[in-house]
Amino acid sequence: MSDSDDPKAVAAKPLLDVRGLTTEFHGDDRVVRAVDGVSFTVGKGEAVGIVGESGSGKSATALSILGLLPERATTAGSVVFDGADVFGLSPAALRSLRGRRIAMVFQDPMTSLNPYLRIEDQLAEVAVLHLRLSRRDAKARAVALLDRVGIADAKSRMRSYPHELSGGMRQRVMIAMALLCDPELLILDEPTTALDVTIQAQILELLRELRRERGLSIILITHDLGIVLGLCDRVMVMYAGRIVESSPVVPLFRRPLHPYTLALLASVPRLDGSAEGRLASIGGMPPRLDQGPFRECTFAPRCVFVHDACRTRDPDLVVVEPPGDAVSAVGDARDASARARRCVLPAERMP
Amino acid sequence: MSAGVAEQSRGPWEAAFARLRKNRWALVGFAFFVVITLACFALPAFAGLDAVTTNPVHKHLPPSSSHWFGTDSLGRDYLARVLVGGRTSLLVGFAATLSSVIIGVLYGAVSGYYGGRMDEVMMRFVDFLYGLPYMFLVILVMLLFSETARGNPLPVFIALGLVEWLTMARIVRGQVLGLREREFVLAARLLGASDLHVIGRHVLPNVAGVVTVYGTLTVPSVIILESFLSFLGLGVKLSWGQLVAEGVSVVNPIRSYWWLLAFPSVFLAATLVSLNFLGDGLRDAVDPKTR
Amino acid sequence: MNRRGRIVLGSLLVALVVGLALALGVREGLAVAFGLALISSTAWLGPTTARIVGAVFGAAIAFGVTRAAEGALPGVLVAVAFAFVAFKWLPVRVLRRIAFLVPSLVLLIFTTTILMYRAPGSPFAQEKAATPDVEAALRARYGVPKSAISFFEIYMRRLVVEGTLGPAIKVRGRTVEQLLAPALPVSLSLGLLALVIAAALGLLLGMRAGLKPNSFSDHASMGLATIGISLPSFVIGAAMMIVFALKLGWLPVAGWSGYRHIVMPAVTLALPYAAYIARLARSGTIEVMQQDFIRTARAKGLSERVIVLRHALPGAILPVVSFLGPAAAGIMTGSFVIETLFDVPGVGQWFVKGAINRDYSVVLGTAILYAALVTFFNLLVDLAYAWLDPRVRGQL
Repeated sequence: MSDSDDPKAVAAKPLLDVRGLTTEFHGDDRVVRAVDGVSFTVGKGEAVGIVGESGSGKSATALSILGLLPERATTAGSVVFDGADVFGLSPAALRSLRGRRIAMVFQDPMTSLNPYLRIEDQLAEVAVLHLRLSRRDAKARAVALLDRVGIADAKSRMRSYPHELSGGMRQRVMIAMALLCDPELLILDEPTTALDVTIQAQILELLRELRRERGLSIILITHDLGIVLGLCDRVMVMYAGRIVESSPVVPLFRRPLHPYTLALLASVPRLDGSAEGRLASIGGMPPRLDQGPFRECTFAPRCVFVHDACRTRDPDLVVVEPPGDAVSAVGDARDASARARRCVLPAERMP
Repeated sequence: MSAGVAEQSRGPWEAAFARLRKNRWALVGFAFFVVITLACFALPAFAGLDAVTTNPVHKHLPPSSSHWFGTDSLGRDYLARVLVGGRTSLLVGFAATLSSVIIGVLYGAVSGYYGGRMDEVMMRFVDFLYGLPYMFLVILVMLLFSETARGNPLPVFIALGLVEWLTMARIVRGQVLGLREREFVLAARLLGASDLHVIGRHVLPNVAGVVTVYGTLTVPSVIILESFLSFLGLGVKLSWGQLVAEGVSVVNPIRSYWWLLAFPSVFLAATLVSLNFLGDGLRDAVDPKTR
Repeated sequence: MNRRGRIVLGSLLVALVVGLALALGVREGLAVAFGLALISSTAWLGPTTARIVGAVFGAAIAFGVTRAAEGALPGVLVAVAFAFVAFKWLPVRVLRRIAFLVPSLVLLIFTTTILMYRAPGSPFAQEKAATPDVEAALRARYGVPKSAISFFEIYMRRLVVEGTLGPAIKVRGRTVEQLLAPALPVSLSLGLLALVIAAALGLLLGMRAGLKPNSFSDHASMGLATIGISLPSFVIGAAMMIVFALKLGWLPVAGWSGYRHIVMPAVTLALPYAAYIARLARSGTIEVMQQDFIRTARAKGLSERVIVLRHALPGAILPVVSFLGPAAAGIMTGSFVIETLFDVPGVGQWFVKGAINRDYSVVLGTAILYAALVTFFNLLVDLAYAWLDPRVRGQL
């Protein structure tokens, strides 16, 4: 397609366009706003990372996109996938989207795979449903994909049950299951958290290859900054349900523009750091998300650079590079190299 | 408004209690149960009801203003019979449950706490008893001793209590096994607490919740078992089960003395339903997963 | 195990033995205690030993049963075949149960004998011409000596050597097998039908309730289920009798001479268990639907129907399957009462009659039958559970 030649044109029509996504969970006596006005885009073939600590709303964002939230959750805003409004789709249309054009890989492969069914059944059913293949063809396709994701002896592995596989293998099975129908967008929620480091590296390498081969768009959700660097083009940092910084990946690591990002980067232990002293951590706790509109910056209680100005208002997300038309919401992926931040303090004052 | 205020923490007991209070069915059940219990124990004395005097002239009368529940085959006032019979059923239920709880908790706690070989042996014993046709043996015992023991509640208490302790023991043992590995138990033992102390002060209070739930659910079980025995002619002298059995025995196509069957059945069912709702409510309050 | 533990265990054991001795007499109490110890020790059998023991015992039982029906030679053949098949292919768990069964049966026979002998009365107490000579002759003829232990010896020897449950004492000219043989299919069919009704009804009601928790139909179904477990089954039976037989005349009141006779007894037996199963199915369904893999299934775009039937069902019915073992045992017991109520000629009636008439052989026969049936049902449940949950299969 000619779209892919012209970067501006590609960027002009994002595959996924999320605007003002707000998700609330309704408990017995309170409402928790887990996602607060999140906007972003994902272009064709682009890999976007969403980073944050637990409770920051990153998983909820992903689940909201596919409509996989539990019963007592409400969403507002819009999610447009390839021109179609996801929230306005009929249940049947939404089901045909899931697993076929947008696929998701979840965090814990042990609990995310059905322990009572064999691998082959769990894999084949996606292809039978969406691609209308016969069971035999579906299984053959699954075997080929298992092979591609690096599972040795794929054919006989098909008859296994999830508990008979190792953690790394299970995650590969999840990835294969997600890719079976050749989706355009792959969402991964903490895909390597439950695995040890060497397996992590392998899975990342696999994702890189697959992305190259298939032109996949990827949303990678994680708290681990290291894997973001290895896979993503752009990163969004989330805190308390909002995006606090959005930036291409290398500039973010070289020069973070938000105190929270800075703190996250600092808290990663370094091989060349001092052997004495304490591990840097971010003091304090994230705010409660059921308290309604905030009158100060949500990060202020834990921020090292906090000033009085920070407590006067809840800052908006503002594009700072390239400077110019000051206020615009992120989501303006016409220039995928834009950097935005949500902070009262001027960017120049950051070290 | 500042962010990051620590949540006011509620102890597990308060949280469970709050959940229970919101459960309408459980509260209704509890209220009903209290009303029935009061009626059975207090009402006959207050209202001067007589359950004992026979009056053959007035036998088999349908309900009327002078005999609200009618009369039975010997002319006794049925309202009185039902209420007084209720005392026995409720007492049997509680006594048997209490004995099964005591035995079961002790057995389960010891087995779960010491674990290992001892636990295996003890549980194998329970498995064996579980696999026995236990009611079979109970019925057999009651049948064999029916002449000497007829009407006497004590063998019934014992027999029924012996049936129910098995489930309680299993449940308690499961809980204790889990608790044993928790940090506070290890901490207590490291501090040199004796086993008895650890069991008494740390393990048992945590088991209390489960015990209450299943204890509440055991009472209806026992009352039903007692009614089975009554049906076979082996139960206690005057209880709901016995009244129901009598009511069943006079079913005939010609003349139906429906009140003889209906009233005790309704009381029996109402009590048991209330207890079951209460027990369910307790269980949901203590373990809200399965709401 | 530390000293304290040893003391506690020791005291428990002593209490148990003392209790047994008081209840049953010193010699008998000790014998029972010994038997219990023997059975408990089967926990220590290693897998290979369990296999061997289970295969051998199973073969012995197969031999006994076949010989009673067909003769000695077929019995031997069946026994050998069984031993071979069992050793090679049956799961260890099943063989353990079989190994467990035989000593349990022996202990059951022993305990029941002791209990019967301690009860007042004897089979010959109501005999009209009960002079001591006549009684002695009767005792010799039926193998019912004055002491319980002698009776036990005679009974066991007769059982193992001749393969018979003995002559019925109160029914002239018949062996216990002859009495129970026609009664067994009656009780079995009643029990099985009740079990099937209970499972089907319970699962249907429970799963529907679990899929829409806290909805009106959920509360309604569960309310109904709670009432179901709050009424003794004979009350339900009597009510059904009144309504369906006496008032409406759709079904016969009692007896056992046509297909319509099985309906009320089976339904009556089934209802309390259906109610309990419904509750189990509901909580099982709710728990399964909260699992992560259901979310994965949704993310794959599967329809709710497929998700429930293919992904949720196996997990949801597991608690129900575990319950089927105790349920079967309960149905067997409950059938005593229902058979009496509806005048059904099953095993339960024989048990009650036997106990009242002090017919020791009949009572023992029904006890053995009962224990064997319960074990058989538990075996089936074990196998069903393994089939449903592949994680357990490996451990079999």
